[in-house]
This record gives sequence, structure tokens and C-alpha cells, in this order.
Amino acid sequence: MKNRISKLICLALVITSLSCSDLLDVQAENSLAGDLLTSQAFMEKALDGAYFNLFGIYDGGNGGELLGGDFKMIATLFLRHQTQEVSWQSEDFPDYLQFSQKSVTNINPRVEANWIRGYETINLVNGILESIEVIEDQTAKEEIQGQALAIRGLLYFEMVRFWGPQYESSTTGSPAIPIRTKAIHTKADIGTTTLSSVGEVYQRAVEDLEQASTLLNGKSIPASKISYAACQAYLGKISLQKGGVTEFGKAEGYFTNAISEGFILNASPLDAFNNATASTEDVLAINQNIVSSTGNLSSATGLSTMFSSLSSTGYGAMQIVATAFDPLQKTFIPNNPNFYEVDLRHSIQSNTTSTSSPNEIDSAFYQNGVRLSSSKFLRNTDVIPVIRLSELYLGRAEAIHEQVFSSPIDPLALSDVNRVRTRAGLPALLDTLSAFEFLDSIKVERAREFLYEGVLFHDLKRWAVNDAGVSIAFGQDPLNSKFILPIPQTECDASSGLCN
Amino acid sequence: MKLFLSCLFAFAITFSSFAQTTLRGTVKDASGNLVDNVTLRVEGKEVFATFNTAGSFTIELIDGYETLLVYAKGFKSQTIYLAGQTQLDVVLVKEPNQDVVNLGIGSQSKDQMSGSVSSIQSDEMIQAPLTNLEQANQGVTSGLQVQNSGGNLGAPAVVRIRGGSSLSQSNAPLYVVDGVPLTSGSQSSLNPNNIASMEVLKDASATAIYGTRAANGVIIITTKSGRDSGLQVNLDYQFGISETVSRLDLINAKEHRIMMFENEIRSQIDFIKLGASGEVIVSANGVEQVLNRTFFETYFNNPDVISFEDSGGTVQNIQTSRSAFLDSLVYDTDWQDQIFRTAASHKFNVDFSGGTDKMGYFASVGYNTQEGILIGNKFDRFNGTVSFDAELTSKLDVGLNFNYSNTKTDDLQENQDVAFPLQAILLPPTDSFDPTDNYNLYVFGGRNFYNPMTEINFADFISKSNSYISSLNLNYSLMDNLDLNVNGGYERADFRTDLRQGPETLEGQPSGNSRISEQLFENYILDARVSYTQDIGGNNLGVILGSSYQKTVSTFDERQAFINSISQLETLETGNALLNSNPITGAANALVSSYLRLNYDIKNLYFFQLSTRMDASSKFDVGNRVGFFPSLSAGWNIVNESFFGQSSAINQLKLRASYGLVGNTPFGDFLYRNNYGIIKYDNRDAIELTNLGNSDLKWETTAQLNVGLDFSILNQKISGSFDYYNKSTTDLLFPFPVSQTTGFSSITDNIGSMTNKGFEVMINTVNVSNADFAWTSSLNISANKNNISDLGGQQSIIGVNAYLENQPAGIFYMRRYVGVDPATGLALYDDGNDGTTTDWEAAPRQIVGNPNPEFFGGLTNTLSYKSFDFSFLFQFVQGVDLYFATGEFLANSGYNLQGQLSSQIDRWYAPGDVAPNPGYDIKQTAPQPSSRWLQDGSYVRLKNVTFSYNFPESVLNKLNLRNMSIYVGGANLFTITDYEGFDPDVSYSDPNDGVIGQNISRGIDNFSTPQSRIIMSGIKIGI
Repeated sequence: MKNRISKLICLALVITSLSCSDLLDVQAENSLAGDLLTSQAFMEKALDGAYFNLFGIYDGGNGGELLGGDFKMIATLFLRHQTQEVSWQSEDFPDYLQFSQKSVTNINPRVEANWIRGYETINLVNGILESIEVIEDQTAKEEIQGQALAIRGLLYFEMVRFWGPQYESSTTGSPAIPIRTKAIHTKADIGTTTLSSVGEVYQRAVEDLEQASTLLNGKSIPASKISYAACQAYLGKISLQKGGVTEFGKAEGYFTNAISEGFILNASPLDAFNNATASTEDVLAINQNIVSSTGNLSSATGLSTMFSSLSSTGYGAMQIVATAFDPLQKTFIPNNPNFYEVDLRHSIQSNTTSTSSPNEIDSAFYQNGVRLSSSKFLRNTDVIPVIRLSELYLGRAEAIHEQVFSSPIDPLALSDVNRVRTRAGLPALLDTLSAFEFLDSIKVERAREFLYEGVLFHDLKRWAVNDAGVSIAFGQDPLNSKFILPIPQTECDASSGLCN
Repeated sequence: MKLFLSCLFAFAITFSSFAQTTLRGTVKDASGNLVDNVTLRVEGKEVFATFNTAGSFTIELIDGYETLLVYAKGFKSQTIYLAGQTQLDVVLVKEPNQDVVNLGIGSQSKDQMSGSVSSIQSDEMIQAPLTNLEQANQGVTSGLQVQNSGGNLGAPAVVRIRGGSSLSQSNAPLYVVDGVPLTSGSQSSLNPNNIASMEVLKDASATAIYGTRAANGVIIITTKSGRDSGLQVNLDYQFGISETVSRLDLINAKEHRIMMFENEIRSQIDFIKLGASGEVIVSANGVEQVLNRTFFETYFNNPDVISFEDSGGTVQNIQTSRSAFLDSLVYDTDWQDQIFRTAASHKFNVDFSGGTDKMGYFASVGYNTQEGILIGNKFDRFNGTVSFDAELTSKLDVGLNFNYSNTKTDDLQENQDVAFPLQAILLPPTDSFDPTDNYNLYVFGGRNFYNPMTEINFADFISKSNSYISSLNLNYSLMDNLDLNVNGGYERADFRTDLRQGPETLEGQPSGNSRISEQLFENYILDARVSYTQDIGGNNLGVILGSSYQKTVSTFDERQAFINSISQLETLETGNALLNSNPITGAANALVSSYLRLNYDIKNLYFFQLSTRMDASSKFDVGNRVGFFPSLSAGWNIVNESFFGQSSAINQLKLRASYGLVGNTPFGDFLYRNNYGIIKYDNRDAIELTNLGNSDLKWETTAQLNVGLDFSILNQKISGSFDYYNKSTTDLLFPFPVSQTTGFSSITDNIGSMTNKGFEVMINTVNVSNADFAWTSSLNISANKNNISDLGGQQSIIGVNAYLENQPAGIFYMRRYVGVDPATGLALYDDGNDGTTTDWEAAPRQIVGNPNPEFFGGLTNTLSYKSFDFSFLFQFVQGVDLYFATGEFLANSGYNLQGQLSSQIDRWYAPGDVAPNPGYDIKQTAPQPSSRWLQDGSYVRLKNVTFSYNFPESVLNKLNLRNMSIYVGGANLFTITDYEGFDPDVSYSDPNDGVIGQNISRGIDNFSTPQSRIIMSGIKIGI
């Protein structure tokens, strides 16, 4: 009998041990795991995954970060100088309130969301770059490698602009943000996190974008992805941001390269927005559709949700209180675009109500009860422009003019500015303007053209470097550290020594 | 209850029509006491004895030379060969293993147990209408804490055995139904009527055999089966009426108008003229007044000219603006009337059972339908059960169980949503709504107030589930003392939730929003074991050796479109631009295990048990898969010691102790490796990394020490048990923060440790026991002290709850409110330096309370007098704090123009007021959580009362029934508590916070639906 028992025990043990390893090999439906980046098909999917994050597409929890919204939102709210100008719905969207109050804490949820999504994107492209050799087709390899590098480069530039001090000789050595160029897959890859200096981050951005330009030059890439032109445009922006004659010279070249890629200004500045697909002037634009957008009414994220006060598409958190006088002509709007009556970018539609359809809006602003809303972001199914041709023209004009700084005005610089002015319905400027008058014209034109597009905030910082008279939000210094986003508390807690 | 059971057996119907001889007699035990629940039958025939109320039986025989079989629970069965006699007094001998306790894997007599297990018999479960299984056990036994997540029908209850052992992983016990360890949560939809018994395994010696999943205890559920009787049919119908346990005392329309008047005055005036002690001076009809409570109450409704001096010294008249808004407040609505209702419920159940001594069967169908006390809430459940067991040969037994349930819940989206009906209590009582205008509010609609009535009428949120639990059990007797048992189980559950929000609703505009979410769980188990018993010189050895394999697979599917129709959504084909449907990663895990249990008892005096389990789980990397969970326990049956002698005063005295290890696996299946999610950009499939892999990941280990004492004294009039335990969990699975430059904020890792210490007392008494009247009581009390001893220097804060080192899990951590500043009327907070501040943000967070109760329990009393039974259960929770999160809005001195508790009228109005509540503050833009809303959540509740009448034999005979009873009862009839909200038995967690949020968010009442007070009546018929 003992024999029989021992046989049974043996049997049980044998069954268990034999089957163990195979039985535990289970897979879940739709699960992807392990080392996936081994084929061109998966590398392409991974690149789209990086775009998904770079463009702040709503993922069930987060949405509207980075290029898809907050880089515009935060920059715009920092400019606000009085409550009527941007009447922020603080009860429904309290997370954004701190930016308009210029008092951003390191536990602000939007700061953390952008920080983490930025590095998530960088980690994804680092993974692509490390596996780039798996792609055999040379053209495909260059396209993917170029875009991955460009994403990393432009993100480092965008992030150092927000989390670091303005680039100037006194700050290039100042600590700014960490640089990660190696992919992190597991706990063991994390290592220690340290801050790189402003100069190092700018250099990283330039190197990545230069290399990307080389790889992407001559490739046909739509505006919804990063093309050679977009790389050159970003390099131009970086040079402008750095400032100085050498950089202005480089900027002129970059913008010229980008402009010659064949973009065409729309007939009206209003045509540049609310398009289902990229318009002819879009150098880089985020495609949205009902399935992949930066957010909707129920996620309560995304630009259109914040800007639109039409109840079908937004909550209208970002609004101007209309007063008896025309607020757009006064010093109400951030840094005073001084719109003329005839400026198409100033046109106001007053026959709308909250239940109007976005299709009924054909002006730059619409009045909805006592409030005015910008019509730049009406629907979450439309393209969000990131870089438009007009930014290249105005950027080149400034770069040229800053190099020569003389009157009569350089003809190319003048014609670049006048292209943007005349299509908005304004008269062309003459070359008899003084150098200072022309520079001011460029600045005002940037304020008018890129209102709410997140451009002006960074302009004010770079202009303030050489001009103490430049102020932000009615008399405040753009270089004040309160305009630098804090590193999130959670990051400081997790990376010891990072924030000391 | 006992009487009911006696009746059930006593009036068993005979089918014999050939009776010629009548045999009479009694069945007694060795002490000469009548034995209850005896089955006495003729072998091989469907002929049974009937018992009269005095305990004597009669059985009709053909010739008086038949063979009789006598069975009774707890006694050895007897076979009696009759020899023509007409009188027979049977004496039954007690089985040594009385009160057999099912341990899931094997069973054991209560006498010989050395582990800590409490049993709940089906007749101890609450007879309330729609309670799910978890709720049915609230207050019934020790060590089991059941907390309702609210009174919403279909909402789950939180069940904890001896506190939670984990911080970030599931703290729910493992449920095992008829040998199938469940993975889908289907236990909630089992019909409590079909459950024969439940065992709660608490200490490591009992649970170790379940290994990696047993850290939070194991609940073994055995469903009913039939045996040894003719066809028996039980019919059961119950009707119930429910209403809310309480209503809040809210301000009425007049009081709200006064508040709105105050709002107007305070928002308009740049007060410049001050009195001698800082009071504000305004003019009414040209007469100067102090701005105080009397002022607001005097002038709120009159067309007086109110004026003030502005900072330029100009007199400003605010008559106009006041009138415009205040004059529109012409309504008077009691929002609680609008949302609460008296709701009806019906419960119907029929079961069939029977069998011979070689086979048994049981089948039942049940239907339950109940309306919620809140509009828009309804629950339906259908249950079907079949069980069959048979002795196929003298060596082979087979058992088959099948449980099916189907549920449908109509509800609205989760509590946080402004659309949830209970949030209507915030709506101003001075407003009303227009049913012809999508139920929009007349006055406040434009101020971001939303009427949930809109949601009720234009949105649906319907959850449906089907669940099946089936098992097949084969037992083969290899030898007299050696059995082979093979058990195969299959569980399947599908859940579907349909959400439709019409264009009229907040989230459904402009074109509607529809979403279908589906989940399918499948769970397979195969378990084989041998059990062996051997008598070694009067000592007993028991061995169980087995192995098992379990695999759980689940898949998820979700489709969404901005359209206003679920049926249209169903027909949208892949590729349709409207359709949003991304592939969702499913779940899959497997467990391969072998286990061993050795029992050895020496002369029924000393008991030893060793049990171990080895688990290999697919949730870990290859090197960390295998876990070993041993336990050791010992018992000493002191009463059997010779030195104890024969004493009738002490019937049982047993000391037991155990120590062992159990585990807990992470909730996620593949956290040890990198996983990718599938997303979409620009209509192209894309992938992204979804976690950082951690190949070092392993299970949490909980070591538990248990010391217990079981006793029974004074002829078993008083019996009970005491238990002390000390659980220590190490290698806690926790989302450890990592640098976000990795793209992630945390990585799941094993860090930290936590302890749970406590004691449990269970006392049962027979207070009176005689022929006509019996009264028994049962009291249980449990206390648990939880402490996070190590968290790797980290902390985790969600809302007002936190995980902090050296504090209980989920401790209340927020600003400490200390009262009202008499000068400004602002709320004062402890500034952390023995001072106060009115700056909420500057005040540091502090530990202000504990959401974990000091102790909880229940007291059941059962009385029976002749044909009447009366039972009631008090359930209590003491020494616990509750956060009245609803109060951030509802009791915030008029915050956001919302409706308020009447208590808020008593607030600060003018400098010098010493008020219990801060003044109306128009500048306050956020609710500012603080201990202002932290309250004592202790309560004692009359949980259940049942009064029943059992029809006498004479009536039953006429109707040809086995038994019949009618009853009336109630649930939650009254509650003694100081808590200000609706109901202290609540627990809310934001579904978006995931598993860790469910663990950390304790004691939160955030618009949680109160429990129902239920009045019910029913009838039970046995045929």
C-alpha cells in the first residue's frame, strides 16, 4: 500500500513539474510585449506612437499636451494681464488658472502632464533610434530616423523654452532640464537623472534637427509629419530664440530653405484655421479626427474644448469679456495687437449664440452673449497648425532686418512682412520706415498673426534680452523666473538631488 | 429558524399508499434527548417516517419486516432490520467528526481544527430583499468587515478579512464556489438562497493551501444539494418596500433667498463705511444699518432701497440688480422629493431537491427585481442552479454543480458626475425645471447648474452580466482510507455596459454619445488530489496531496461613437469614420500548483497540521515564478485531558495556534516585462510602451500568527471562540515613483511592509430553551489595527487619504480646520506652528483621523415561541472617522450658490459673530477640503428584523404541504449615529484612481447613495 501511495505522490509531482513551464506560457488578447522594434512595420507604428504623444492626442487620461495644446495654452495664459481679457472658467478648469495668475506651483497637474508626456515621447523616439538598423530599405530608414531625431530635437527646444531661462550669454550654463538620449525599457535602465544646462539642451536640439534635415531633405513628407521644411523652420525658430547677429544670419538661411519647399499662403488669414486637412500654408500641422483628437467635451481636454464657446464643441473657458468699446482695438489683448478695423484677423461676428454651429462662424472672433471668443480652434476634428508659412516670412523678415538694421528697409524683409499684412487686408508698408519702426511693425504683426498660437510669449522673452522696455502682461519682466515652469514635485521626489 | 428546519423534515411527505402496519417510536441520542432533523426511511422505497411536534415518528409499513435506514446530521447512520414490532426507540450514536467544516481542499471536524475558520450556515444569512452575497454577511461573523459602497443597487460591497494586507493590489478575499476559485467577481450575483454554507478561512494554516492568492483570506461557498428524500419543492416569494434611511435637513426656498440676497450684497459692495468695531454700514430706505444676519433676514424680500458708499464716497444704489436676480427666484422645490422614491421589490424563488441514499439532486430558479430609492436605478437578477451527485459505484462518486446568473442594472454614471441624481440636493430650492425644455433649470441653468433630471430622461446607463460557474467532481475510493479526487471547474462571465447620452445632456451634445463596453472572463481549473487517512495506534494521520492548474483569460472590447443610439452603434462596421474602437489589451494568467496537507491527532487531544503549497504564477518572470507557502498549526483539546475529568460545566475547551505564509500577486498580468499599447494617430495604428518592466517583481508575502481558544460551557449553553492574530506583509507591491524622464511616473516594485494585528470574539448563547420558548444570541466583535511600517521613504496621497509610514493605511491627511475667525468670518486652519491661518493653501496637511474602525461586529438574537419565530440583527462599527465629502459643497456656508444643510444658516455674518460656520465668502473658488467635514462615523444599526409564523401541522396536512410560513420583516430600520450625512455605511472611491485608489480611499462619503430602509413580507411553502 505504501508503494501505491508513493506512486501517486510521484505521479502528482511529475505532472506538476512537467507541465509547469508550458502551462504558464499564457498570452492576453491584443497584447504586444517584449522587443517589438524588429521590423519596419513596427518601427513605423512606433513612430506614429511618438507623434500620438508629441501631438497630445487624448489617450483616455491625458490629452492636449505639448504641441497639441498646452504649449499654446500655457504661453497664452502667461500673457494675460487682466481678468476681462481672458475670463478663465476656474471652477471647471482650475488647473490652468495658475498660468494666468503667474504663480505656477510644482504640483500643477498640467505642468506634470506636459513634463511626463514630453519625456514619454523622447523615450519612444530614443527606442526607435536605437533600433534603426532593423530597417533595410534605405529611404524608409532615413525617413524614420530623420523624423525621430526631429521629434527629439524640437521637443528639447520646446521644453527648454518653458522649463529653462531664456537663452542668453549669462544663462547658457544654467541648469535647465535633463537630456535623455538612451531608451529606458526596464528598471535597470533608469540610472540617475541630472539637469543639463540651457546651452547643452539647445545644442542637443540643433544637432538633432540638423541631422534630421540631412536625412529628410528631398523626401516627400506630408504636413502632418515632420518634413525637411519643418526641421528647417524649427532651426530658424531656435536661432531667433538664441538671438545675436550670427544666429540671425543662420535663421535667415533656415527660413529661406523652408520657404522654398513650396508652401502657399492662403488667400485670407482666416482660411488657415478650421480645416479638415492641412492647408497650403501649413508647414507642420496636427491632424485630428473624431477617433484621434486632443480631446472632446467629455474628456474636457484640447484646444477647441477650451476656446470654443459653442456648446456643441467647447466650454469656452478662454474668453474675452466684451465691453461697450471694441476690446480688440484697445490694449486689452496681450501685448496689444492694435488691430485696425480693416484687419480680417480682427473681424467680429455678433449674430451667434451658444447653440450656433461651428460652420456658421466665418470671422476671427464671435460674440456669444457678453463674451468674445476666438474662432481659431472651433472643432476637435480639424487640423491644429503648429508652424504656418506666415511664421517663416515674419521670422525671415526679422532675421534679415536684425542683421542689417537700416533704412531703407531690405526689400526681401519688407516683402515678407507685406505678404502677411496685405492678405489680412492691411496696406503694404513702405521701405521708408525707420529701422526701429520696421522692427516694431514686425513685432506687432507677430502679435496679430499668431494671437493664441503660443508664439508671442517666447518672442517677448527673446526681445526682452536686449530691450528692458519689453514687458509681459502689463508691465512685468518676461525674464522673471515666475515665467519659468517648475520641475514637477513628483519628479523632484523621485530623482534625489535634481531640484536642489 | 431551527424550528423551521424541524418542520421541514418533520412533515416530510410519504408517497406510500399501501400502508398496512404502522411503526411508531422515537429517535434519541445517547443522553436520551430527542434528535432533530432525522430522516427515517424504508430501504429501497420512497417511504419516509413523519414526526409529530412532540418528536415521535410514525411510518407506514407493508408487513413490518422491512429494513429501516436512519440518518441525522452529526450522527452515525443506522440500518435496522425490523422483525414485526410496532414500537421502536432508536438510539443514535454521535459521529466523532461533528460539525464538519469545509476547507475547500478537504474538510475537517470542528473539534480537530487548529486553524481559524468561521462558518455561516444558510439559515444565518439575512433575509433581506436584494442583498448580494457580500452584503448578506454584514455583521454575521467575526473577522469579516463588509462595507457598502453606497445604497445604489448593483454597487459592489467592500469585503475585508482581518484588514487589507496590500496597499496597491486587491484586498478582496479569494472566493471558492464548489471548488472553483473565482476570478471574475461573480460571487456577488450568486443567489444567497442557494447557498448551503460559507466558510471564512482567516489564518495562515487554513489559507496557506491556497498559496499566492490567500493573503486576504478565503471564502469557501458550498451550494445546496439534495439527498435522501422524495421530491421536495420549496417556494418562496417576498415583497418589499424601500425608502431612504434618512433625509438631510436642507435649507428651504426662503432661506436660500436670504442667502442669495447676502450673495448679491457681498458681491456688489466695495464696503467703505465701517462702524466703530469694524462692522459694515449700509443704508436701507435711507436708514443706516449694520450688515448682519438681522439685516439680511429683514430686507431680503422687500423692495427697499439699499445703498452704500463706494470708495469714492458716492452713494450707490443696488436696488436694481438685487431685484432682477432675486425676483426671478419664485420657485420652491424640495429636491429630495424629486430624486428619492418609495421603491418596490419582488423576489421569487423555487427549488426542487431530492434523491436516494445513492444520489441527490437540487435545482432552483430565482428572480429578483428591485427599484432603487433613487430615480433611475433598477436591478433585475435571474438565477438558475442545478446540482447532481451520485454514488456511481461503491467506489466512485460524482458531483456536478452549475450556477447561472443574469443581472441587469439601470443606473446613471458614477457618483462624481454632476449628472448623478443625488447631486440634485445641491440645486437651489428657489429654482425649478421645465420638462418641456429638456428639464433645464429656469433660473440657475445658465450658471453651470445641471439638473440630473435631464440625465434621467435623456441618458441610459445599463449594465448586464451573465455568469456561469460549473464544476464536476469525481471521487474514487482507491482503498478504504485512500481517495482520489478530481475536480474540474469552469467559470465564465460576460459583462456589458451600454451608455447612451442624448444630445439634450451635458456630455451628449450636440449629436449624442453612445458607448458599448464588453468584458469576457473565462476561468478554468483542474485539481487532482489524493487523500489518505490512517489510524496509527489510536492516533489519526491524514494526508492530502494534490496539484492544480488554473488559467484565467479575459478580453475587453469597447466601441464608441458620437451618435444617439446603441443599436446604431452595434451596426457600425469597422472602418466607419464615426466608430471609435481601439483594440484593448486583454488579461491572461495561469497558476500551476502542488500542495500537501498533513494532519495528525494524538488521542483526540493534540492536533497538528502542516500545510504547504507551491505556486508557480505566470505573473512573474521565469526566475521568480515559484512561491512556497508553508504553514504549521497545533491544537490542544484540553477538555479531553484526563486531568480534566468529566465535567458537564465545560463541554469544550481547545487552544490552537498557527503560523504560516501566504501570498498576493499583482493585479496586472505582465508587469515583469515591457508591454505596448495599441493606439491610433491619423487613422493609422500605432504603438507605445505602456509600462517599465521589472523582472525582479515577486509576490507580496504575508506571515500570519494566530492564537485562538474555542470553548463551550454549561451544557453548551455558552460557546464561542477568541482569536488573536498578527499579520505582517512584506515585499509590498507598490507603484514606486521613478524619474518621469523615463516617460513613466512609477514602476511596480516590491517595497515596504505593513502589519495588521487584531482580535476576534464570537460568543453564542442559548438563553432559554424549553418546549415552547427558545432564545439564542450570537455576538461577534472584531478589532483590527493596521500600520504601514515601511514604504521605502515614500508616501502616497489621493484626495484626503494617504499612505504614510508608521500610520494606518488610508489615514485622513488634510488641513486641520480649527474654527471661524470672528473678525473676518473666514475659516481658520492650523498653521502647523501652534497658530492659525486663514490661508488654506499655506496650512500644512496633517493627520486628522482614521478611516479604519477600531472595532465592528454584530449581535443576532433569535426567539421562538410555539409557531412564531422572531430574529433581529444589530450591526455596529465603532471608532471610525468618515469624511463627509458631500459637505464640501452642501455644508460650505453657501458655497457656489448651492443648496445647503440647514446647519449652515448658523454662520458668521458680521465682525464679532462667534459662529460655528464660516461666513459667506464670495471669493472662495474651490471647496477647500479640510477636517471641517471629518466626522465620527461610528454607528449601531438594526440591520435586520424578521418575524415569522409557521403554520401548524393540522393546516399543513389539510393543504398537503410539508411546511408553510409567512413572515414580515425589515432591514436598516434604525441607525444610531452622530454622522451628519445620509448614511455612515459608505465607501466611495473614484473609479479613475484604479486599484490603489480603491485601497487608499477609505471612509469617503461623496454623494454616496444611502442604504434603503426596507419593509418586507413573504411566504415560504414546502411541498
